[in-house]
This record gives sequence, structure tokens and C-alpha cells, in this order.
Amino acid sequence: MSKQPIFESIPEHDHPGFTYFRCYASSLDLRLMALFFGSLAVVLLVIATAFAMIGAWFVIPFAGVEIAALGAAVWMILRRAGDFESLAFRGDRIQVEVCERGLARRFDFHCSWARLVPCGPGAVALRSHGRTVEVGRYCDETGRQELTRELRGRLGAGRI
Amino acid sequence: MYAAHTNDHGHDEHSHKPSGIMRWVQSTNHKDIGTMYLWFSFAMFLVGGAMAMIIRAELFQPGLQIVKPEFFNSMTTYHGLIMVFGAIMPAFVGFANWLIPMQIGAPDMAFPRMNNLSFWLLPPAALLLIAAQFAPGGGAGVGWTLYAPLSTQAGPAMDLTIFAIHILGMSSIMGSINIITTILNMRAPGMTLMKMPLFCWTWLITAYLLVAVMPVLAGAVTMTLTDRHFGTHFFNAAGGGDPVLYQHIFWFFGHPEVYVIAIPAFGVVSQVIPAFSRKPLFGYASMVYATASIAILSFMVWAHHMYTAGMPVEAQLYFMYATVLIAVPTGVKVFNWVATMWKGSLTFETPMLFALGFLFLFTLGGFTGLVLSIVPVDIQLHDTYYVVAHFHYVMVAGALFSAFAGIYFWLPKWTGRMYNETLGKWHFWLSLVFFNVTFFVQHFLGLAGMPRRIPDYSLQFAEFNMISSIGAFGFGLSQLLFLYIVIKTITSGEKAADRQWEGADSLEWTHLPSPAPWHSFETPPVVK
Amino acid sequence: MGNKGFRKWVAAAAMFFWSIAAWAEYKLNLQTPNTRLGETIYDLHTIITVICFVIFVGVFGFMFYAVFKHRKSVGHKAAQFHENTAVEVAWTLIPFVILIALAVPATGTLITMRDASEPDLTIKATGYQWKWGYDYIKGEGEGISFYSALSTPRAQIDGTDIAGRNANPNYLLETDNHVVVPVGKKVRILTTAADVIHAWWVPALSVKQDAVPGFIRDAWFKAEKAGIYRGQCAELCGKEHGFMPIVVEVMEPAQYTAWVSTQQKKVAAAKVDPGKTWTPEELKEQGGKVFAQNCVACHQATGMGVPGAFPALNGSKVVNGPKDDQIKLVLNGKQGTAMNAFKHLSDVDLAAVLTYTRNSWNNKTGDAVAPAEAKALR
Repeated sequence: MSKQPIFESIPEHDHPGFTYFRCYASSLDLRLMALFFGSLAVVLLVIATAFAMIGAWFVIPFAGVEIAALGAAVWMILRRAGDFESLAFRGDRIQVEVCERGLARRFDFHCSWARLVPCGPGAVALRSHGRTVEVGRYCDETGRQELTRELRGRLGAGRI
Repeated sequence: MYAAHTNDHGHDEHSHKPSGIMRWVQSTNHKDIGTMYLWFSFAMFLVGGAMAMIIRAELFQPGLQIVKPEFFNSMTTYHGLIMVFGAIMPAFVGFANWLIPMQIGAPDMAFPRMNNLSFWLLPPAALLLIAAQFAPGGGAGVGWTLYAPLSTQAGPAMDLTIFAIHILGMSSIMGSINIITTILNMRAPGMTLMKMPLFCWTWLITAYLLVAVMPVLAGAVTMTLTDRHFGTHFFNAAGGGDPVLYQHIFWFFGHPEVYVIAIPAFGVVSQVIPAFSRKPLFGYASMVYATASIAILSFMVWAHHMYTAGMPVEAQLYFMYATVLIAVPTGVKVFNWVATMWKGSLTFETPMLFALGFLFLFTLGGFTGLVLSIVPVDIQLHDTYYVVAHFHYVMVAGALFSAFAGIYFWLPKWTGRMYNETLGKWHFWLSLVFFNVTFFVQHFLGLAGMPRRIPDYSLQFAEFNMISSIGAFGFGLSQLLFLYIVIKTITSGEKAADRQWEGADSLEWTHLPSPAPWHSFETPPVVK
Repeated sequence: MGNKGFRKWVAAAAMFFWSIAAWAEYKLNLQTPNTRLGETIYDLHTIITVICFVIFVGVFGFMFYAVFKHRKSVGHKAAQFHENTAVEVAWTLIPFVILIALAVPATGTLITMRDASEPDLTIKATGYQWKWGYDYIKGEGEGISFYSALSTPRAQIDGTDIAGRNANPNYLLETDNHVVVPVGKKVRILTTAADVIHAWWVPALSVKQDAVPGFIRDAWFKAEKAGIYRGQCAELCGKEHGFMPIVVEVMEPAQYTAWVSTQQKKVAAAKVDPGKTWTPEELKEQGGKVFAQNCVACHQATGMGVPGAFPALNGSKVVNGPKDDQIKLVLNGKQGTAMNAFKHLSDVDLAAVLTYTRNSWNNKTGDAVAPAEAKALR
């Protein structure tokens, strides 16, 4: 049973400051996804058509609804495929990089000017000199609360 | 060597979890939802089990003693529906929710809010099925297959049942889409498909099957509904329809559905047996291919459920050949499991016992399935207790025992506490003995000619029916012991180790503490 | 001491043989077939079961060997192999070969089974909720037609006559009219149904065929020995599904011929003179019989039905209302309920049963439905 552990974690902190990286997906393989959803859609259509030909056309609308649901799921995943958000403290500056639908934006704030502000229900943003960027968008609520706590500590208390 | 390689998840121990009932209602956390699925399925297991007790009580002796025939028919119907759609399927979806993100190194499911919705659709559907008992005229005594035209002439309970099936179907589809996207999209770096634990593979294939066949079921029950109320004649011969068309549609869904239940069970067993053999799974790749072949074949054999319904002899021959073919990949799986144990270093804790019970009895059920696949023999045995015995070997000793194996196996990881091994073993042996007392004798009843779904029988069947009923009461009571074991584990079990089973080597054992933290992998582990 | 031990053994052996004798009363296998085809099927089942048993013992022999010899508690160390192509190919191919060996005899049997051509006698079996109707269509006895319903007294079923039940060897397997067929002749059974799907099944004759409303299916058998063979409806068909048995009486040809002639005489005698005028009393009397055959299972002898499921006729608005509405309802049935169309009843029976319901229990319309009125609304 002596075996080398086959799994190992990425060290979470590669330098003593706080860095944070979240992306939406980690293992998207477009060809695989296409194969899976393409074949499912074809199978569904073939089944529905075959049943329609022997008189049971009521399978078609349900197959259609399902293909639509599958399509919506794929679309949402593809839309968010390359998205990421990274946060890093370098000295007294905080650098934020956000990529949404292939569009990357960089923000470079001074720690003593940047403030955490609420933006929308349950969401938080960093703001400095009129520029605002939402953070923690790929966390769930508790993850976001932790991030807020972490940032608040580093940006100075009582700013929000 | 066996020390757990856990991440620093200390920062997850926070106090900001929503509390009270709303925590569960609103939860989008895969572990919360998995827990709810499992509890829900256990509750349904008790409801369906109570119905089985009524059935066996009525069949304890010849004559009508306890219930009226129409109520008896309603019990057989809803026992089947509730066990299939309410107990077994949600149980394995519960496993999927708990385990897939942990096993592939993901933080959660791909669509957490949809996950919440797909669970919360279940309780209303279950309530509809139960409410159907109180509809005017009582529950629809049409069998879980809901064959037309009997279902066309049933009372309003039928409409409630159809509505419940629609809701259950929606829930299954959302769950399946979630599982597929999670597995395809959320794997940790380096976790290729062929490195995934077999449990994830079996669910990937199951989810594919479910998505492919659910519209067929939805279509079938919708056509029943329109035949009932909107003057269509899909299944009404007087209007140009064909009652047998319903059976084709239903079983085109129904046969893959059998594998929807069995395949995740294969997955659980494929995790448990290597762990207690302290040896890697034999033939991982052939397991994956065998599972996929079973899934593909399951689309091609539906009419073996209806050999007596009337079809050309060529069709019967085709379905017979296709059906016996399923024995090949199924055999490969059984051989692989036995080879996994071969020259291992075996121990027999409760999960392993249930997995072995599964292996032994599921194979027996597979063999009676082979007997039934041979058309001339099936025509003798169709709609008899032989069939009832066959599918209970596959569903109870197969799927249910595998679910028990899985629960005992992962309970330490889920709760951070160990179950009581002695009680667990009692649960296994009681279940094993009573299960066989209940169902083995039903083979003889079927061979001798007792039809299924009858509330009363001729005197020649009296002895075996009494034995079967005694077994059933014992089996039912033994499951209360299971409830006690689980509650005792949660409230006062001993602390479990992070890697409770030394032979377990998937990510949830090697990389996560027990109990598993609220978020599995905030940062993905790297799989080499 | 030794003597005591010996006695113990004798007692144990006696117990063992007693239990085997007791087991002999338990039926463990298919019923003894009474057709050639049935014997083939019986053997086919035996062969498959034995093959399965051998494989089962083989596979689990390995498993139990591992369970006992490769356990950690006896100090066995785990090997780490996890594949072996040769073995894997072997255990894919060998089952394949066994399955082909099984499929070959099964194919032959199935083709014989489905060849219902050139029958000596053709009988149509129609499933009704919940009895069978038989029409001798072709061959000796052509034209004979009767219904066949459960004849076990209700008291034995509901438990008011338990002694009677225990003394009844054919409890639930007896009918008022047997299907009579000649021995050694090929009998083709055409199955159909009037309402929902039923299945015509007689285990000893190795026939099971669904009876599908609106369609005709067929099956056949050639009985080897005279005798009475009993079966049941095998497809769930509603409330009384467990109570519609099938009894086939196989007779020697001479006896069969005699039976046919008595039946045909009975038919001639019972043939109602179409010009006959029925008095209300006669109609009501005849109607009581029709009611007992067709209506009582749902609407009950008291006319009270089953609350929630089957409406009461006693005090019913339809029964006490205009005659035409009631005739139409019974003729055409009520869509979406268990009330089927009763077009298959003759005009006289229809008129009679309606007269009966209109003048029984607390219903006192005092009128009678004439056969001509029923005919007019068909």
C-alpha cells in the first residue's frame, strides 16, 4: 500500500502579502463539451423524431425544452469560461485584474485611498478616485464575507 | 504513510453560516444539498417501505383481510413510484452532490442555485404522490408503469401523479445538467477524465442517460393526460391510437431508468471494494468502457419488458439478442470487482460487507435477468413473482445495499464521526438474511405461477407468501436500526480520522479533513 | 452417554428427512407442462438456470477464496496489479460464446412458439373488467360463445367463510364456464379486450398473451393430456385483477364432440324469440342475472357502489331520470372513468339490466325499458 501521494496543493500564498485569484472554470475542454452536448442534442432529436413518426409527437416539445436548457447551460459556461479576478497587494498598492468575456481590465489603487463599498445585493466593490470594481464575484456569500474581512483589515478599519 | 494530506482549511471555520431553517431552504452549498437529498430519500424510503409492509401484510394469508383490492393496487403503484423516484434516485443524487466536487477538486457544483432548486422540487412532488392517496376514489391503482388504458380510466389521483412525475423529471434534468457541467468544467488541473474516481464516471454516464430519456417519460405521461382530459387518442384504440404504443414509450424511458439506478450503485461499489482490498481497482479503463456500453445497450432493449404484449417474432428475436448482450459488460464489471479483491489485503468493515452483499446478490439478480431475457422462458415468467424477485434483487440488494455501503463508507467524512461498527454489522446481517427470506422464495412463487399485483392468491402459494411476509417485516424493522445508527453517529459518534479508511485514495480522503469543510476546494489541488 | 448422542443424531436425521418431505409440498419449479412446446421451454429454463448456477459458483468461488485467504487478518499483503489484458479479453469473450450457445435453442423454440398457423380450432378470448368472454370462431364447436367468470364464493374471499376457503383446492382458480378444448389438437387463441389490457395465461399450457383492446393477438397450444388446467389474468387490469381466472378443460375428442353438441343445443334453446314481448317482471328477473355478471363488481349488490370510486345506482339521478340518458350512458360508457361501453350486451340484456336498476333497492320508477328502445339508441 505504500504509495506516493498523487495529489499536491498549489501553495496558496506564494509571497507573504495577500494574493487572491479566482476564476470561473478550471477544466473546460471545448472539444469535449461540444462532443457531449452535441451528441446529447442529436440523441434527443433522433429519439423525439422517431417517436413522432410512430404517433407520439408529444416527446418533441419536451426534447426541445431540454435542448434549450442544455444550450443555456453551455452558453453560460462558455460566456464565463475565461473569466477570472485577481487581487494582489504590492507594497502600499492593491492591484486588481478582472477579465470578463475576454475583456481584461486592470486597476491599481493606493491602499490608503481604496475603499470597500457595497454594490448591489450581496456584492462588494473597491472604489478609489471614481473608479469602481466589483470583487469576490466568483465566491459564494461566505467566501465573499471572508474576502471582505481580509480586505477590510488590510485597507484599514471602519472605511465601509 | 497514511497521514492525511490536508490543506490548510482553517479559515473555513467561520461563524457566518446562515443559521436555522433558512440555511437549508436557501442553501446553495453542495454538501447541504447532498445532505438534504439523502434525508429526503430516507424519509421516502420509510414511506415506500410502509406501503410495502401493507402489501406484505395483506399477502400474509390468502383471502382479503386488511385492505380492499383497489387500495392494494394503489399501494403497489405508489410503493414502486416512491421507491424509484423518491428514494433510490435522490439517494444517489445526494451522493453525487456530496462527492463529485470533492472527488474532482472543485469548490462546489457548476450551478449552485439550480442545485438548490432541483432539490426543492422534490418535496412538493412527494407530497403530490402522497396526496394522491386521498383524492376522490383513492390512489391510482395502475402499477408504477402507469399503463394505458387503465391509467386513462383512473380517478383524479392519476392527474396528481402525472403532475408529480413532471416535477420529478424537471428536478432530475436540472440535477443531471448540473452534474455533467460540473464534471466537464470544474475538474482540478491535471484531473483528466481517465483519472477521475469511478464514482464520477458512473454519474457522468448516468446523467447523460437521464437527460436523454426524461423527455420520453414526460411525453408519455403528458399524452396520458391529454387522452384523459383533452380528447386525444394516443393510446385509445377506439380513436385510432394504440395502447401498446404507451408501453414502447414508457419502457424506452424505463429500461435506461433501471441503469440510472444501477450505474451510480456500481460507482459506489467501485470506490468501496478497492478501499477495503487495499489494492487499486482492477481494470479501471475496462470499467469505464463497460459502464458506457451498458448505457448504450440500455437504449436498445426496451421491449424485453413487453414480450407478451404482441410484436413480430423478428422483433422478439432482436430484443432477446440485444438483451443477452448486456450480460457481457455486466459480467466484465463483476469479474473486475472480484479481481480487485484477489490477492488484496481484505478487511470487512460494514461498507465492505454491504459492497460484498451487493456483489453477491446483484449478480444473482443479473442471472435471473438472463433467464428472463430468453423470450420463451420470459413468456412463462412475465408478470409473475419471479420478475418481482428479479428486480428486487437488482434494486434492493443492488442499488439499496450499495447506497448503504456508500453511507457507511463516507459517513466519517461527512460528519467527522464514526458509526458504531458492531451495530453496522448487525444492520448488514439482518438486512441480508431478511432480504433473502423475503425475496428468494418469490422466485418459487413466480415459477409456480403466481401473478404479480394480486391482493389474494390461491392456497398453493400460501406457505411461501407467509415466509416472504415475515422476511419483509424483519427487513423493514432492520432499517429502523439503520436510522438509529446514523443519528447516533451524528450526535455521539467517535471522532473520525481524516483518512478513516487506509485504503481510500480519492481526493476527499487524501486532501480534506473529516468532517469535510464547508467549501471543498477553494483553491484547486494539482493532480499529477 | 454414547447412547444419548446417538439418539440425538437420529432425531436430527429424522428432522432433516421430515423437512425434505415437507419441502416436497412446496412448489419450487415451473408447473408440469402439458404441451410439447412447454416441455421444451421447461428444459430451456433448466439449462439456463444450471449454466447460471455453475458460473455463479465459479465466480463466487474465487470471491470467497479471496475473502478467506486474502484477508488482512491472516496477514495477507496486498498485491498492486490492476490490469491484465489477456484475462480481461478472456472474460469478455467466454461469456459471449456462452450467450450465443444459449440464444440458439431459444431462437428455435421461439419460432415454433410463434407459429400459430393451421390451427384445428380457433377461439377468441376477450378480456372484460373482470371476466373472460369466449367465442369459438373456427373448427369444431364454431359458434359457441359464453362468458367465464370467477365462481369462488365472495364469502370465502372476504373471510366470512374461512373454513370453506381452506377446503377449496381451487380457491380463486375456478370459473362458472370452462373453456373446453379437444386433446391433441392445435388450438389457436386470439386475444383481445373490451376495456383495458388483460393477459390470457395458463401456465401448464405455456401460453401467455396480452389481450389488448382494439387489437387481436394470437398464441397457440396443443394439449397432450386431458385434464383441467388453471391460470389467471396476468396483466394488471384494475380492482378485480386477481379475480378473473382462466380454466381450460382438455377433453378426449369424443367427449369434446358431445360437449359441443350440448352447448349448441343450449344455444338454440336459449335463443330468444326476437318477436317475444317481455313483461316488466320478466325483464327485471333477467336483469338481475345480467347485473350479477356485469355490474356487481363495481356498483355492488346493494347498488351503493364504492364511495369515491364507483357511484351508487341506488338513488342515482341518472338511473331515476329519463330512460334515454341511462341507455346512452350504458351503451357508450363514460370517457375517463371505469364505466366502460356495454355495447356487447344484447338489446334484451341491456333493456333487462336497465329495468332491473330502475326498479331495485330504493329506485321505484315503475317503468320498464323495452329491448326496442335500447336498439333504437345504438
